Amino acid sequence: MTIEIVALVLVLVGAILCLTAAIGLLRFPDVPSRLHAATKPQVLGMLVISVGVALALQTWAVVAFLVPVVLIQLASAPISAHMVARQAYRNGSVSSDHVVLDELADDIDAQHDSG
Amino acid sequence: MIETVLIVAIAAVFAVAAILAIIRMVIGPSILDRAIASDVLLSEVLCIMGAEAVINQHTFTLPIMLMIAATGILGTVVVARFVARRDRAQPQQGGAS
Repeated sequence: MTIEIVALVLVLVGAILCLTAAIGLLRFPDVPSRLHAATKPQVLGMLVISVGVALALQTWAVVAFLVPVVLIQLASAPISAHMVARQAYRNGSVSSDHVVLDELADDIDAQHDSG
Repeated sequence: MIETVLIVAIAAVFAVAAILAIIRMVIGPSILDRAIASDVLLSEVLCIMGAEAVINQHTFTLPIMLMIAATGILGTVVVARFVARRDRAQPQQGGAS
């Protein structure tokens, strides 16, 4: 009974993290900040909800299902964020006013100069 | 009953989050914003599957969670990889060389 309430509270925390991701997605101005808001809370929310599922069901088989889910999320969220940010830089969605240090531009220039 | 209150709160928070992601998907200025919004929406579906397993105390949704986690990356990566280079939010002078 208490375990079930704890699991529901964990799921509620994960849901609020998803809500913060959606609010940041709606309110931030450009692609990199939206990406920043979108990627991190969804991974942490997924982690908290997986802990809640494991607490509610209390079976090792469930844990064996949830560990790959969390590991795949942790591995794949940076990949998709990197691909989106790379394309956003290359088609000019990243305003150069907001960039303090732009090492990628130097690398691209060096690559063009070397032929 | 505290469980009913918690379940209603969870459902309301998930619904608001999904609606906000869909709003960004509709009004997003570039296709990259829409790709990010669809990624967030898919991960919310994943979280809702887990919440449904907690609420109803069954394990039917766990294989679906595994498959969504394994294949959800593909849509975002493919869209980001094959998006047209001139599809930008606001045009800047000079262009991408």
